[in-house]
Amino acid sequence: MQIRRRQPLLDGPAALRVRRVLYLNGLRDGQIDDAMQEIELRALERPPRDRGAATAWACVVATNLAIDVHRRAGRMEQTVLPKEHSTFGDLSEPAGLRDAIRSGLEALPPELRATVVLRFYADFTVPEIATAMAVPEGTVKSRLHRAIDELRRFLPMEAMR
Amino acid sequence: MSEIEDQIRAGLRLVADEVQPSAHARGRVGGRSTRLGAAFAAASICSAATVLALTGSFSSGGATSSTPSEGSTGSHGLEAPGNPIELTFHRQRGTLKSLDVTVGSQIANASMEIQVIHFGPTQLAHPAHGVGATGADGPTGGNASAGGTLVYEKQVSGTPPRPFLGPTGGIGGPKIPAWAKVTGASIWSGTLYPSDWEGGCEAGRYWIHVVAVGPGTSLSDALDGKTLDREIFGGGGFSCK
Repeated sequence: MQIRRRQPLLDGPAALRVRRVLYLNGLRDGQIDDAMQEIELRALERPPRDRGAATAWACVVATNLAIDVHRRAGRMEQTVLPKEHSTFGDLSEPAGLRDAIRSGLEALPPELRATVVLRFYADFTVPEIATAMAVPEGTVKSRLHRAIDELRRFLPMEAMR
Repeated sequence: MSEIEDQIRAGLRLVADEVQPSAHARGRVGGRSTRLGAAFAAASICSAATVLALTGSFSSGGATSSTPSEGSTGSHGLEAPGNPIELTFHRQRGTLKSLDVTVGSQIANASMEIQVIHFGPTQLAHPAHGVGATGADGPTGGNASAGGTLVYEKQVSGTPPRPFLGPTGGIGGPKIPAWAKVTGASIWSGTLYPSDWEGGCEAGRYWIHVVAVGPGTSLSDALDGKTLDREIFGGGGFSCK
């Protein structure tokens, strides 16, 4: 029998990017591992037509898997930032900005959080997000608007001057 | 681009950099028994691919999870009548000796391809995470593959469930589950041995996939995703030793 070597769907940097999408969507440790393996399985079952877009494909699958996890859980996980750290340091410093965004993400419903991650981390366009999440573009814009408004509460304007 | 959007982008990158490399591979692939009918596959692909040419399913519908039995003899993949695949493991002291496979397709006179895919320990390992917030490189330090290796493939033909003609595995083949005699349009049942596949019993995890097509449909096209007129069954992950 001739053995065919499967090309990995994602190389190291691409896999890392997808793992980070999962992380930003609130998945942790074992959940991320399970999701990565689920993505690999889906790629085996129905390979992306365009391997050049494999990372984007995987980001979309990852996003929807994360939303599914949160829907099943019925709530966003509250695992990242202890309540006593809910005030942030100097947002001009990386640690302050990181903590602020992290808490802001936690405060977002899964669909808004996923939209923000796709738009501002994965660099999807609004039409691409609309297709990925199977919603109208207007819904994406609305979600982004609401999400930014929510995140703005964690990013005081004076800190951005 | 607004200032706040710049802040969000920068903040997301900082949070994302918290993803740290893991020193140990998790051995779990997870059992999954999946039946993806042609209609479901077509629907999910159509919903996804219209603009982005991203052909993945955006929904986890149609897939269920189960934990494969790792006992001396155990089965999984069939919890409800009509489930399309059943695996029965025969082990001695934890080492897999043989594996009975029964597949039930709703495609009449189906041609099927049985595939065994191996994920070695390095393929299960976390990919290198590059330079994280701490500036440390991942311990794997390279491009750990997320892919597996196809170590076995065999084309078989399903047989009608009524009148049941017996296992295609021949004399001494596996016992046919009761469900396989009353459900599905094409049944195949056979026994696989680790010596059947390339490399035999190796560390890591194995997957079994079965792709079924009807007469007139190319199995090759189905395997390459060129046709959606197919059924795909996943028997879940298992270890050999």
